[in-house]
Amino acid sequence: MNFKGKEKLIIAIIGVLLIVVLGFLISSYSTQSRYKKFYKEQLKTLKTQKESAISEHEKYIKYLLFQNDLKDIDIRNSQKKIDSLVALKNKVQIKYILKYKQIEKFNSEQIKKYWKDEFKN
Amino acid sequence: MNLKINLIVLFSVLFQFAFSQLKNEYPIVSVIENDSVVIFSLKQSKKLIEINEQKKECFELKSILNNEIIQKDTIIYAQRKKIENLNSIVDEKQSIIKTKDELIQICEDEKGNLRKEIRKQKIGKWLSISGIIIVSVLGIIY
Repeated sequence: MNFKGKEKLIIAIIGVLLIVVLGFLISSYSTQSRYKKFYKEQLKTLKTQKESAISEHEKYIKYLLFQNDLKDIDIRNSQKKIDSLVALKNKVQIKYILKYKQIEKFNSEQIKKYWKDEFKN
Repeated sequence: MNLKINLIVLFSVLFQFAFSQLKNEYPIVSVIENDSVVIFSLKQSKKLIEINEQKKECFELKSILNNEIIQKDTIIYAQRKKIENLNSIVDEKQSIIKTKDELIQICEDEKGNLRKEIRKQKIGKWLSISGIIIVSVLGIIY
């Protein structure tokens, strides 16, 4: 194939244009793929962040539930103590009812002894 | 005769009054062996013992009731803490819901991207197949 001077120039221009277009396409493809990769990485990072945030919230919830369990133990212990105090209160009341009955029957000697003991302390 | 009866009644009333006054004369203050002492009747003394014992009973009950109050305060404090913790749990759960919604959105975005990529790859695959066919046909023809 014999090309004349003008044809050679056109072919050269077309060749250069093709190279430029190809170069542009390659660079745009590479930019796009870099952008896609960056976007994917961003999504992955965001996902990891959100998942770790959820796991932190869940850990904190577990801690709060544990704290509530401890508080339940405290409440149960206090309730037991209150029950025993109520029982003690009843015992004291009964003890004094009996004492008052005994006092009613006190004779002079017992009265004297009572006050002597009182002032001894 | 009537006058005599009246006088007897009057004397008996006066005697009873005087006796009752005499009965209530305790406590008295007296000096025994250079000590001033207060003398109570047995009945009054018993009454004083009762009052003394009532005081003791009150002290014991007060101590028990104070302990009960302390325990009830502990329960109230624990219940308040529990309520605070439960409110915090509600807040945390709401945060989790919000974060999970955001995560779902991210996953949806990712899914959309993957779909686009699959579509592109499918187009690329068909273009390659078509190109190969065209090149083969042209090759066979020429």
